[in-house]
Amino acid sequence: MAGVGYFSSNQSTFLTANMANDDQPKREFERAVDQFSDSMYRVAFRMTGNRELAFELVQETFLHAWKGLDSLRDPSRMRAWIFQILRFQFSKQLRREVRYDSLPDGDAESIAEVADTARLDLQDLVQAALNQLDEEFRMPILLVSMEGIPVGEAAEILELPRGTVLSRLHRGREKLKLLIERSGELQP
Amino acid sequence: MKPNDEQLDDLLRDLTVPAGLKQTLLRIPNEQPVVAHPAVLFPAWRIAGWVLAAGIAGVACWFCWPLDKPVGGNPVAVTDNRALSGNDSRAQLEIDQLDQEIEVLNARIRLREAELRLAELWRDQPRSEVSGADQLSLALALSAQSAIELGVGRDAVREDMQKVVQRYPQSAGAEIASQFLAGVESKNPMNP
Repeated sequence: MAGVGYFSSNQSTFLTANMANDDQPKREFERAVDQFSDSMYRVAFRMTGNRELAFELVQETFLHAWKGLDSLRDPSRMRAWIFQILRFQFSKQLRREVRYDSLPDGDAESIAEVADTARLDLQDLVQAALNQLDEEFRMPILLVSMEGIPVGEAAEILELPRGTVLSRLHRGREKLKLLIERSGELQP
Repeated sequence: MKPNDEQLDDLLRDLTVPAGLKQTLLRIPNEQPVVAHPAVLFPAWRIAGWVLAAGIAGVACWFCWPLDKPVGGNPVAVTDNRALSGNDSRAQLEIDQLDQEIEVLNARIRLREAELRLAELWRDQPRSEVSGADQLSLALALSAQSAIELGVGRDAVREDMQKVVQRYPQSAGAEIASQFLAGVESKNPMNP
């Protein structure tokens, strides 16, 4: 490789390698955004029931992930790691005693995003039922059922034994189905 | 209607993600500098808190520990029961040591009693040919020998024998004491 400017060939190679290393965290971060941001938003929205709060939660999560990216030694654990951060951030918000609305926000833009009125009603029902579910049941459902994350990885995210996650998943699903059914019956 | 598992999953997934989300997130590296030490899972203040708590606990354990703590022992790792048993063993050692000291003192008392008895005997039956120094040194030396016969250890009377040699040199008692100190079995001059 030819030298560039003041640098010899070896120096230039060294600098190029370092520049590549410097870009490595950014590339990893961009890959994480590309792969997990949609999934994280869905989980965040189902947890908060509010689009703005979900957006903020995902932003905060990725901000902390970027700042602490050098602590992630095994890049294959990126999803588990970043969902753990999401969980911590959500807990932090709860500790601040932020009360979330049980239904999605009703601003014009949000409603415009969901064109079908019937679908919006069904979504309201689902979110209302989900919000009535205890926290311990909600997260396994969102991670495993909604996002298709393997149970073992969900157990790592939730810092629970695998058996506990499976049990909560099963019980949570049954409760959620029941809540949706009852909510549907109450609809006019 | 009660949805099945598949319908439930579809319902949960049926969400529209805001269009600008990815663009907003991708701007983060350009706006935020990388911090070497993450503050998400193990913030610095939390670690400092743990260190402080451990320090306070350590100091508390140190002050709560018995005063005669063993050197080099780890006070945190030892339970109260072990501390009590340690105290018991130390107390037993002290008792044994005191018993030994009492035994030595009793031996000295017996030795003095024998000395007095001999002195009385020599007083009641004085011999003109024996000097006062000889009488006293003999009394002391013989009383020491009597003490040994009574069961007192040789070490206990060694000091007395040395005094006899020092105070009454060239006397009959000093001769016996010297023999004793030299490890030679002396004979009682009264019963040759």
